[in-house]
Amino acid sequence: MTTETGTSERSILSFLDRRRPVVRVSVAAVGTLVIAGLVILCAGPLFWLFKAATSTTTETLSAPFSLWPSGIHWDSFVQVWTRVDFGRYFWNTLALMGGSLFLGLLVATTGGYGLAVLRPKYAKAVFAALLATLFIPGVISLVALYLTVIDIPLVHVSLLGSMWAVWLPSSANAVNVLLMQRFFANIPRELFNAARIDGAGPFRMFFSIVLPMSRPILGVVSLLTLVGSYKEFLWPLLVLPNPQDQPISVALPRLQSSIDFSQFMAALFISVIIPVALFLVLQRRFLQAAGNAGALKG
Amino acid sequence: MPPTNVRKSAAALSASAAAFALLSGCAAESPSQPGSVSITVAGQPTQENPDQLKAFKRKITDFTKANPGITVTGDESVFDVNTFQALVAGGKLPTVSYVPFTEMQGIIARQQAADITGYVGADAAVKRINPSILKVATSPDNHVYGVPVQAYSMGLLYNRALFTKAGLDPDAPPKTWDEVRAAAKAIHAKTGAQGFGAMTKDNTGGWVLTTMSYAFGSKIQSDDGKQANINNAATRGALEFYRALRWDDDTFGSDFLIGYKDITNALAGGKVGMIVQGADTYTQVVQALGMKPDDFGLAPMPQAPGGLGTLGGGSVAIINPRASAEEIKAALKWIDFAEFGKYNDEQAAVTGAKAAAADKLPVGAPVLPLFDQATTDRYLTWVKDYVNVPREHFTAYFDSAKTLPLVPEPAAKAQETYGILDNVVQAVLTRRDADINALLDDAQKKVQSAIDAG
Amino acid sequence: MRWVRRGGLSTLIFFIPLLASFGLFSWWPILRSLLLSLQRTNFLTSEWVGLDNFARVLRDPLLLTATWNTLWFAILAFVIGFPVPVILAVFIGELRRARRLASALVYLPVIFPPVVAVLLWKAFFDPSPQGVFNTVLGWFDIGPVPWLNSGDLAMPSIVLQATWASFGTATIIYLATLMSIQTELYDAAEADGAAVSRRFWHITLPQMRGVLLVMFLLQVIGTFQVFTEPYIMTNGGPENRTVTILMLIYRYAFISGDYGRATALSVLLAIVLSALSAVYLWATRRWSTS
Repeated sequence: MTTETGTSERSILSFLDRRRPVVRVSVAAVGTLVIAGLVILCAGPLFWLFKAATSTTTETLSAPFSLWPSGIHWDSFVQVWTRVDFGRYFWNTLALMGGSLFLGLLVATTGGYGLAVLRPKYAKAVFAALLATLFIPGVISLVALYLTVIDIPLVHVSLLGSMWAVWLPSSANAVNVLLMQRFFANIPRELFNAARIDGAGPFRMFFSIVLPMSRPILGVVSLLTLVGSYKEFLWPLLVLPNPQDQPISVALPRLQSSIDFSQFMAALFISVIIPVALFLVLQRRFLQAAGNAGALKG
Repeated sequence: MPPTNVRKSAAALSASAAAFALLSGCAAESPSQPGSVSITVAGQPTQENPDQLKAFKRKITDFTKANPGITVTGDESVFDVNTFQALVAGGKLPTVSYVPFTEMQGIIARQQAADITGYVGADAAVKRINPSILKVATSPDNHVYGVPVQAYSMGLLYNRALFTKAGLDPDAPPKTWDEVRAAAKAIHAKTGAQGFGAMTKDNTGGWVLTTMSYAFGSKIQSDDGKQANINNAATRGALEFYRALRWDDDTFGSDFLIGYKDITNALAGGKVGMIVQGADTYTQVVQALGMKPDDFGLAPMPQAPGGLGTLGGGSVAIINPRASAEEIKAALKWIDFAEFGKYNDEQAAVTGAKAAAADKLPVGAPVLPLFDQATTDRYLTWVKDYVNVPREHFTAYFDSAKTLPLVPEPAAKAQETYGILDNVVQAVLTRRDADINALLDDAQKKVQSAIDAG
Repeated sequence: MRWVRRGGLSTLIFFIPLLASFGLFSWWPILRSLLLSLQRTNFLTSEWVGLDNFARVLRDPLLLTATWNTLWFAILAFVIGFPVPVILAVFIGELRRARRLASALVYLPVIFPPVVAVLLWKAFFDPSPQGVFNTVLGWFDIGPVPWLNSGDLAMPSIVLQATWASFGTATIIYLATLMSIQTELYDAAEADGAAVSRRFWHITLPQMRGVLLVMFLLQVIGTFQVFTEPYIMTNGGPENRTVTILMLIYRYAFISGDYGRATALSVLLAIVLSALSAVYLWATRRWSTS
């Protein structure tokens, strides 16, 4: 399920078709158009954002497309980092991502292992309950989840204003558990049977067979979790009311009209350039993960 | 006080920040009881405002030195309609937080602030607060649920630099709405900037429209809060004024989804000439947004023939409803220290003002007397060497405070009313053919049914 | 004890994170929603009020507005947003050397954190003649267009932004599906003399039917929960033309503190969405078996 099988097979057009000049020219023309359109549409905003972040506010607001009439100004970036203390929001974002990743992987690997390999009698019921959450729209529990987080049942602790309020709920991600479960289920049973005969218990099998063998799926789930947590807005907005605890996504709308326009553009640019850089490096994995998610949904 | 989150926070913030600065270095009182108690206090400025933050931290140090039993932790949370319910429900409201006047009656009705009636001593500063101001924090059965710490009235804020550029006299701001309209035309024609601006969302549109209605000559609700009176000649007049500037003169700009932060940013940046706003906005635009003090113009709210006056607003310190008796006592001490010390003690006032001026915080910003004119005047005499706010520009505003009546907010469902009026304002500004009469009739029905629902 | 000796306990240990996490943060909140929707609570006392919360939801004139706005968003998102990725995926599928570049470009907007994308587009939608989009339109002597400031254009503008932000995901998924179509099918059709357009209609589309249906379902469920975009760009204005159902839930709960009414509306929305999925799944199954 990758997008890169292009080297081998044909698609709608055959090799024969492609030899015809009309087809060749029109494919080339359409291809150029598509690429040009995509560059303007998808990369254009990123370029413009960079331009706006390195121009003065007046320049951008009076002539949004003039290219650096008074040269490139980097001071907006400096201002954002020093005066606006963007570093703190950045750090908060990283902390949120890290915690969600750890807890998400913990729940998904142990749960997937239990469901796919250990398979006790109650596994069926758990699996059904898990599937059910996929079909019940998340919106139903937004308010109730919020009320749960501000007063955790049994222990009566309020997580409001603490990163746990984001970390813990994000770990209950059925898609991640199912991805793991599906992958683990494909590990040959003979491996486990052999290990059992060697006297290995569930823990040893988990650490010495399952985890080492599941690097690809761990990568996919990690990526999905990290991207998901970087993108979150409404939930952290609700449970992290204090500015000092907020991640970038929650801080940005607040900063929108309280800082200078070009500084704000710089803040937006900083917020987007890191995921974009990561994407350019890990392009294949990202696209694979996207395809995988689609495969699961299908 | 406008109903928007930011608006409120900004005023509360500026109130506290300024006060803290003023008091820093204030003489220590006799150390109090050894029993230790911890309180958290809102109003700590964010890192974006390093000067204010420094002053705030020093304030806490001074307070704890004077009150060894009390530990004070600063909290950055500011009043925000979007998070206030969350903080209350989550039990995470700071011990002391600041809320706008306009929210107080709702907070009292929902029991979201501690009843401090029993904790206020006979000689407490609260007792001397102007009764008409203290009323905003008092329940119908005369229990007090908060301490007003700052009060202001709505006026016409303008950018003096733009006035000069447009060939207008910044020392003779418009007194009538026709003059406002003419000035807006001149500003737009000569400078290209937007002549007049108004907020439209987060209930602020309705809040300003209500102020405009008062200035045009009518309240929008009966005094007992039972009868909505939305479709009246004054409100129609105010909306006609909006309509003329927007569609006939084109001096109203093009963006009509804006709140407090947007409009103050535009004023500070010279993008809009005049707005209707609270006088306390001085601190927001000068301190946080970097407007030159000399560019900030403030005029009394222009009045149409038969105008009733202007709307008042301000900020109230409330105490977490779950606070213990000890915490309430400590919190009241903090409020007294942080907000009122400067009015009682020349030494405190002077050292505070000196430090504030050094930190480039405004000293002498335009607000209304919280206690009485004499107390305010005495304070201003004490600190006159440190006043860094060009108060001479605001003479007309200060004079008007003695004559222009302060009209209270609608007694019932003020926020809902403002929200419904937001839509009317948005309609008039975004649709050339908007039928003002029909819009107001519809709003009248909605507000009345909100009031009737109780 | 036999249970422990046979590994029951260590097995259970592996289930604890999952049970705790889903129990507390997924299953219990869902259950609690149903309970809360029948209660009125202020955290000191709760009382059962039967269907009163539902009645109050249905009486709110804004509900009709929000429902219509949400439907309108869904319809626009379908009309604007659904065909684009399909067409794009087919085109990109025909590219040879540029396919990787095209995939990367298509996916770039998805990499934007939603809040950043929304705020950036909000700047693009600046209604003044010097706004980014209005400048572009100005080159063609069109405008200035009020975008978010017009009751009629606000929602389409938001949909435009939302489509930009999300079409990459769908395109990549369709592309993956296209690439997995067996080439023999095309070869056979070609041998039968089927022209390119016939191959598309008779092989490509039918092969994509499954994923198209699923994506449609997911899009509907997604669009019914739209919040961030209108919240940041218009906060429901002008004249409530962009208030969505989720925004209404948000206002009930987190601005008015009326949690009973908010959960009642959540439950109603969830019922509609679940029913929609059920009907849809049923229809899909009948379709694919007939």
